[in-house]
Amino acid sequence: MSAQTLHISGLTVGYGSRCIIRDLNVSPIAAGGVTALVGPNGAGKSTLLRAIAGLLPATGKVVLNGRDLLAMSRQERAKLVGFMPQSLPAGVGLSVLETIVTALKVASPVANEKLLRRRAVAVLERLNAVHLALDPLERLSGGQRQMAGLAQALAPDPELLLLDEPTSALDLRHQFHIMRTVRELVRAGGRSAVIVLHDLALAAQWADTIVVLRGGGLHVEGPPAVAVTPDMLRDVYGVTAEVIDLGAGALHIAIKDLAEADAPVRQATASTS
Amino acid sequence: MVGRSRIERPEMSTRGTMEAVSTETGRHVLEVHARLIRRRGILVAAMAVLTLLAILLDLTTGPSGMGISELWMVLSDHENTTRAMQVIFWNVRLPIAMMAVLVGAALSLAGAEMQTVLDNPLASPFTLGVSSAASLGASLAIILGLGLPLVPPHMIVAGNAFVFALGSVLLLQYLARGGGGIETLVLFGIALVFTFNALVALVQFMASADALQQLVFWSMGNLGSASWETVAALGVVTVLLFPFSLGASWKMTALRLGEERASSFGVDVARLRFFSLLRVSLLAATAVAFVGTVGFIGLVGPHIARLLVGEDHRFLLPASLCSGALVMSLASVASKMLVPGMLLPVGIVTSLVGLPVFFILIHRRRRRP
Repeated sequence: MSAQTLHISGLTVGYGSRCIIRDLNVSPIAAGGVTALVGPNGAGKSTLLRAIAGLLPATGKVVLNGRDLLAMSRQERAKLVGFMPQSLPAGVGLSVLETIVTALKVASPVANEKLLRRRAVAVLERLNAVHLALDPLERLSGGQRQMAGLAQALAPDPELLLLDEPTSALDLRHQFHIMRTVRELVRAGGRSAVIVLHDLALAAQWADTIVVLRGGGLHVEGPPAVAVTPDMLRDVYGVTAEVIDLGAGALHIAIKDLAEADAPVRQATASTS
Repeated sequence: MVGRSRIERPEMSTRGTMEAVSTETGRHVLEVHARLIRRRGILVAAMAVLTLLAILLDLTTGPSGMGISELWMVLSDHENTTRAMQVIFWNVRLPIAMMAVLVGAALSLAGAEMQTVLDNPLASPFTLGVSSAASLGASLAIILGLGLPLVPPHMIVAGNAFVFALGSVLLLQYLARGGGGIETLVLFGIALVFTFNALVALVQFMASADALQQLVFWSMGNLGSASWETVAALGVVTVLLFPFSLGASWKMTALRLGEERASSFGVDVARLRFFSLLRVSLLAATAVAFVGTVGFIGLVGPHIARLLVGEDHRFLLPASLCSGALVMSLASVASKMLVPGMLLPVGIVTSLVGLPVFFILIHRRRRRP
């Protein structure tokens, strides 16, 4: 395994005067690994992902393989980082293939278009989604649009993949397929992936490391068995739960009840103010 | 530089495998897509040819009854044509025909850019107050006789309209600076529309009946006052700006996927929007200055183009240019033919000519599986 890493240190992110993430430090993420970003609503998961992608004003350091992503130009960053936001617009007349070619062409304006088209089709083949290539986005289902979005992020062959809930609209089969494909790509290519997930079981199954955010700060990080515990579920999500290890990385999380209802909310506010 | 080793990344890194299309469906997709691209190119070319035919039609219609044979005589045989025929062709028909095409092209191109950068299918060059500002400028000139220093008297209406239209967009960009995105921009734009309209009403209230009539006539959009001077000015603006529009076409296509997504592809969205609005304001302000407000074309031209060639802006922008030119040219013909012996304000006619075309296209699209 190579020594490529993603290292986030002293990261502070805010919209306007409102600070959402304050002085966040995450242990270096080794290449070839999938990191899941989890936490309750409003914990700052998507904000962190956007900040790494350079879409929000942020201070601190996000160093990928020795280069600070926050200090480089948009175009440079676009070649290294593939970002997939939560939602893709619905009413767009472009075909899936056209959107991928556009993503590639904008990132490298001088590239030969025929080559880019072949590359786009190859990526769709890789995702088992080539049958969608000529369909306009406006006629796709939510799940199909997610496939298209993932293909756009993957196509430039980035070193770092940032996926914001890539499976939220997918059925079980496609969830499994997407997560497995992403992990294969990451493992084989020495890339890194940081994925926001709501489903802790899915996170535990596919991620090497789970980073739990709460109120804009780091709560705990580590392998799934270390991060996903009854204590964490109580402190962060405010539920009492049982975590059963099913072996081979799979966890079953059985929620029993709500913990003291207002406790986590109070803590969260305290840490952001 | 940290290299990405090919050995480490056998599946996607080496170019050969990355671009290798391995399935039958994949090869079929590429073929169909290539055909689609060719078809779009042909459609744009066809629209350009139709526009040329429309210009020819425009040149052969008019109250003087000069038809295609007389037209040919004027062009080929100077000896046997009367001075009147020469004047009608060179000083009346050709400038009007050229102005029609240029106004249509400029407003429709501006509309296409506007709809994309504001992410709003109902946007047109006049959405954010460009036409209201131009009207205010024109009304100051027509009613109060207020003009800019150094502008020759016969150009003060056009000069005022241009300066106010361009100024309104710059003011808008200044007001909406510092983020807030499209919504802030549109809200400020609407505020400007109401402000300018109120000021125009105020000036109108103080106007004499004569001056008021002149202003109303101006605001209906008129090709009759086209001269070589104005044709050249709008021609230069359009020809100079179009390559910049075309140069931004991939970025504009990316913007259709959302601001965040375009930005993650490497597009500087704020910069793209600023320069696009600058082009829109120059095109719209110049067109409005010379012919008055012709509102419909900037909205519908891009829609006609979109229905024909889709949203790939490499084709959408030239197709919008052509569809606007074509519709406006036909409107110019109709403005001479609807009431014999009278040149109707082209702003009125544009809607009447453009709407049927638009309805047919929407209807066809709905029937498509």
